[in-house]
Amino acid sequence: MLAGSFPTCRDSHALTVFFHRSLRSDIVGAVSKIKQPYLGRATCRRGKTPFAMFIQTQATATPARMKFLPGCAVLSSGTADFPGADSSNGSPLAQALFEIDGVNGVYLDPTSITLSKADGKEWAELKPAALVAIMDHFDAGRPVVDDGFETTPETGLNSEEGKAIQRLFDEHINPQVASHGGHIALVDVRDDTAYIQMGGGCQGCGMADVTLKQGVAKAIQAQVPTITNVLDVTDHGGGINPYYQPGKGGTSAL
Amino acid sequence: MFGVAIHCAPVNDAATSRRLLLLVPTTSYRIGDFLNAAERLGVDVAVGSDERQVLELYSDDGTLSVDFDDLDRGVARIVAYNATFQLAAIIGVDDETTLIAAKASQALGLPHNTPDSVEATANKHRLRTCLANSGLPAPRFTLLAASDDPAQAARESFYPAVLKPLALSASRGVIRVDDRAQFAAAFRRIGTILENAGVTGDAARHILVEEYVPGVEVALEGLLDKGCLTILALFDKPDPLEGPYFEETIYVTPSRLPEHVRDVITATVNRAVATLGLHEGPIHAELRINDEGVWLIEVAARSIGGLCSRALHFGAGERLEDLILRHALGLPVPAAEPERPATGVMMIPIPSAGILRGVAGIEAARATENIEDLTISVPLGEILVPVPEGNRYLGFIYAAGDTPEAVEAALRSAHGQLKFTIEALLHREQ
Repeated sequence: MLAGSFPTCRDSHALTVFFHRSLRSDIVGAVSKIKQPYLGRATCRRGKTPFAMFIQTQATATPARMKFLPGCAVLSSGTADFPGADSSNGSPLAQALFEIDGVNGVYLDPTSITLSKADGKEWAELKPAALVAIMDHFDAGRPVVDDGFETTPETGLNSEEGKAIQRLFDEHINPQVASHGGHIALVDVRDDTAYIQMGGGCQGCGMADVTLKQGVAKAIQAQVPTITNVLDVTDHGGGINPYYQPGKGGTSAL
Repeated sequence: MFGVAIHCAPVNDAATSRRLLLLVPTTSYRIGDFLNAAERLGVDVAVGSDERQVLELYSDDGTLSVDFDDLDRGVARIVAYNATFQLAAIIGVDDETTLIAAKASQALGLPHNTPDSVEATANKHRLRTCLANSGLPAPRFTLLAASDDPAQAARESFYPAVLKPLALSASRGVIRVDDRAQFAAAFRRIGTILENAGVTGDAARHILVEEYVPGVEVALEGLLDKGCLTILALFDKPDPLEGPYFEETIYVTPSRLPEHVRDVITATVNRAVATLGLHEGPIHAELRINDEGVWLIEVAARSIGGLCSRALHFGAGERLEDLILRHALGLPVPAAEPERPATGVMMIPIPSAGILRGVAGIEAARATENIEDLTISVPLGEILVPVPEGNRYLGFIYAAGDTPEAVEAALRSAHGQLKFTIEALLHREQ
């Protein structure tokens, strides 16, 4: 089942470790053995004003990605995706995170930092280092992105939820429905609702509602619990090659 | 009995905490409406079908494959599923699944019709036989082997007659014959239809011959609760169904028949279901009315087929499927008062055989006064097969209005706006 094949957000737990920056090195060693996601606490500063920082981590639909929520604004608006160190010019925070051996992707949005890790690396090792890097960055009062850096406007599709659903579709859903000549596209994500569109063998299929409600919706809700509605915007009447067609057959069991 | 609130069982929280199993063939029109109803009611639902669902892996065990052809194996599968996910009710959504739903319900001790009663409705000859001694008006009938000599059978038949397969639905294979030549041709034609439809067992080997019953036809939608029948809708079928084929078109409710005739219809259906032993769940009956009385043509232990149920709206946004699910789960069933004074549906007939290349006029048809919706249910590029070989409709038009007359006029007007481009198969072969 999904929950067994990769972690879900429901597997995440509140961070369990609180620490002061002065104790950081001791705690980093300790938390590296903790398997659960955890919370780091530090005295940070915005400019020269110290403030307490709580960093929460959250598993995502993809095991290789981990979300860090520092509890303060990351970007003022939009998103910024840095798929590799080479692309991190313009973001001192991303550059700092790419210095961690094993981090190969950084994604920023207004409230969180999502890191991607290289194969063979474990989050148990990377998380403490990432926490330190994030805390150091904010503690020093450095900007997340340089002046003039243009973020990507936030849309449903490039929100973290949208990306998680897209990955779910790319890696799990569409490889399955392809066996029926079908495909399912994520059209948009707004608030708690994902809008999807069916094509190929799924469009007009007599079992499209079962695929939607008993398959797609359950998979999305298992992986992205904040999505509570999944709406199908397909014009099923326009399907030209549905896999199952109503009315074909129609014999009694006798 | 019309529009009377049916018995409301006390709220049963235990029922909603367990799963409802919908048994549906992959060729059904009906699953979406039932799933939507389950969602409205907050019911945990599983779907059992004859094919493995493509996303079964992600369904949280909300789908399961059930062998509908091997009833014992299918029931065993459901019983095993119940061991993990306790079922509150099992609903067979279409003709293909009512019997296995009854057998599985019996095995699990869930309220349902007896398998014998459901089996009788699913086989037209058994239905006729069961009703023969009920005292209800019934046409003469005889059962022939599909291997019989058509010419000999034609010589011995009565006329006019209707030849029918025992088990096919949606008027498939139903042909009126008025003389020996028509009989022999129809007999051979139905034999071919049975072969092509993949019918097996007793139904594959026999053809039923019934005396043709003239008259107007109606369809009745009802819900049985402990043997008590509530009429949910009585539809007039204003287009004459005189043969040689019997393609359904317009259904309009409420019926414009006089009250005393409606009372006889209700009494006839009540007597029929009691004779058959049906006592729980939806029923769909078709009857003919003429000077000699009310004749039961068919009754099935399921709700109306196709997408026709969408023509029915009850108070507080309830649909037919909501009422069926509520009844199955022992939840209170609200009074089945229609939400609109008159509603109707037109099953868009297939005008000719060929390949559907285009449908024009959909927006104009939708814009027709009193038209609520229009659905084309056959994809472009599909081969259209009219009755008696086919069993599909091009689509469905829905209307609602203040009177049955207004609804019927709207349906005819909307249908008149539609233009279908159908490429003749003969032309294509050339």
